[in-house]
Amino acid sequence: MMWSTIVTITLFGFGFNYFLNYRDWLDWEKDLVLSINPGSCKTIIKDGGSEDVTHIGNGIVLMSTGFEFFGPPGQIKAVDLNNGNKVMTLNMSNVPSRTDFLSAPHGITTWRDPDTDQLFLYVICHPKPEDRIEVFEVLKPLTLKYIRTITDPKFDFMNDMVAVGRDKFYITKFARFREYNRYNLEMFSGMKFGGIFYYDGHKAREVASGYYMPNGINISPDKKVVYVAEWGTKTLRGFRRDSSNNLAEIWSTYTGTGIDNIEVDPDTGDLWIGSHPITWKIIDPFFGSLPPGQVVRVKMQDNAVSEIEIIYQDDGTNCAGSTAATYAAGKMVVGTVREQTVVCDVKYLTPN
Amino acid sequence: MFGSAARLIFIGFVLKQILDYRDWLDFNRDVIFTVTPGKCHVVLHDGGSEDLTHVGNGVVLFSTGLATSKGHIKAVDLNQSLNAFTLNITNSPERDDFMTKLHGLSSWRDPHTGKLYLYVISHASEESIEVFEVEDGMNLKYIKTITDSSFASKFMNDLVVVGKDKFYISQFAHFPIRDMTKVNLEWLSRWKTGNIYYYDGHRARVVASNLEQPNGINISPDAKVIYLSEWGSKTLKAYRRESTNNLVELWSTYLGTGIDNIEVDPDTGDLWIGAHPVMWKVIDLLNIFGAKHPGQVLRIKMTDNAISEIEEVFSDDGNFLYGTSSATNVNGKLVIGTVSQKAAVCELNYLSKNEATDSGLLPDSYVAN
Repeated sequence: MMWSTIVTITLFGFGFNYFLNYRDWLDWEKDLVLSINPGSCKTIIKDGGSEDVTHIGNGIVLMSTGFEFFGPPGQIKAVDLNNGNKVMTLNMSNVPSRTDFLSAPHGITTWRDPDTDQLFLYVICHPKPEDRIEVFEVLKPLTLKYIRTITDPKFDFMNDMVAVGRDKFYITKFARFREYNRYNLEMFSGMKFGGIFYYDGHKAREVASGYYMPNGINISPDKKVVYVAEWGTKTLRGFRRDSSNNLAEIWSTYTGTGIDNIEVDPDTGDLWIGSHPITWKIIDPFFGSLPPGQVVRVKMQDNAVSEIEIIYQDDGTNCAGSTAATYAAGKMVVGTVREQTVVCDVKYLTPN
Repeated sequence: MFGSAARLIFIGFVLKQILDYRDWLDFNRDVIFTVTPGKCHVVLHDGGSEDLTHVGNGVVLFSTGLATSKGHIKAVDLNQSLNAFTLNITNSPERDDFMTKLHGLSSWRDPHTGKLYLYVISHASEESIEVFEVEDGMNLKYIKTITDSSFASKFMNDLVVVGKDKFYISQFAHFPIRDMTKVNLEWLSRWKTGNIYYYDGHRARVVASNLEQPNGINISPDAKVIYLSEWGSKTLKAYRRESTNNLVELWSTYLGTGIDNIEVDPDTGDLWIGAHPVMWKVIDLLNIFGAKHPGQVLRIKMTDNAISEIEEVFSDDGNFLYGTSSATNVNGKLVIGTVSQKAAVCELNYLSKNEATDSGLLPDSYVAN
């Protein structure tokens, strides 16, 4: 009958369209990644990864290293860009005696108290029972003193955070499921279970919801706009912060690449983002492929995107699975999920 | 049961063809990011600069006018100013169609006399190669016009000169450029109608065939290997030159982007290639509809005439440069030519080296700690 033919063809059309979009999302037909080198590059850490990086001043960049799904404790390392790119592991004092302390360290953020000039470091960790944010004071000479642990029943599988006050921060919920198989199903399904939470010093509340695996989060130098890298949809979003710390989305830009963590240049407002240009290579649980590395620099105008540049790209041989990048002291530091950490000279940057 | 299986296989086959064609068109390549190697200056504002070549001492010659009609050979002296000037032509023939729609060019220095010659493909009333002597003070003295019945009514693209009036030339399409509708259909059909001819000073013969829109062609510094951009299949090919000047394919590497003209660095052997990254946007390559498509420059490091690394040195979404068909590196300055629009010179603030390191594992731009 004519009717059933129309229905069949329409259903088939929808199915084929879904299949095409999914295939595009995977970057299935992409394989070759061209190199882009901003200057001479050095591999400062060969493996173990450096999922998130942040510059704390004077060319010192802190990194969370050793991330593995609910894996063993990792470490906080630092590289001194003004001192021959020397890498050191930070000693921690006053730490609790839990064996799973600092398990799978993920996103990090720092906050300087304007009154006391103390610098605090917050690290998202994934021990098996629940996600925990470990809080440290960063002391000179460079060591970490453990202060407290922050948890909240609303935290499922979190990814990155940005501190806006003492123990006050915005944090991204990457996935609802913390168990590996269900997490993978959630990722492959495309369901929008992710969101952004605000922790006010005592408890967390959701300030934005319905996103597909929101990943990196950071804030404009004037503290008015919160930037979120929604990795799942390859979209960069800007949210206006209001006086009650709620968020309202003001713009979104499709980037076409798997944007991960965001660092913000305090002088220019540029965003430096580690990204995954070929989705199937970074989520591949079957073929053991080598994921490429990429760093994009997003030039901003009035806290909105004006131009996107690629500063660095590698097929994975030197930098596999780049998740974070920052620009300091004329150099670019690139961190990866579990492989290398690379420092490159940046010989040219277009003016903002 | 067998019938349903056959039907399913047939549908699967058709869907696969659709998917492959869609991939080839780069339909899902929607966002192009900028890559800038250094400060850029525009040296030519319009008219295009489809092919270019460095003839020595910082002087780069351009073939212009492919999208319009009347073409010129222009030049920029990188050691002087960054403004291009038109070369005077002496002794020109009196044909109306002389210097129409200039396309690929190639220069050759006679080892015995030291004279420099320029050969330019012109889409005149028949496909012609105009031959000039390049004289001091940047004048061109017309010598002769070369045509051949085997390619006179086709669509030739680029050439590389290997001796006095001896060259390899790429035949881009079967239909001539004045029949753009048929040329576009030929391109969209993806039929392998392209060839490489060798002209021995008297006549041309096919030395490579079954190519999909062969475009840029050049030669290794040791003159042993011919490089070809098979633009339609986004593949770079290399051929060994035999003593008879026949070509034998050595290797073929898929680059995933619409590679156009090739320039070869005489010292390092690096290939510098202008490319068009989004295939479906190329349909307006001659800028008749004013569509902007992105630009790209690749630098390919070679070791023993084989690819060792591929770098993207320049990328633009079309707002600054589009239709980037040719590029070359002259002492740290990247010169970029486009089909119908501007030509630019960008500083190369950093270029990773092309020498094998002691470890033999990492490219020279990397140092393990």
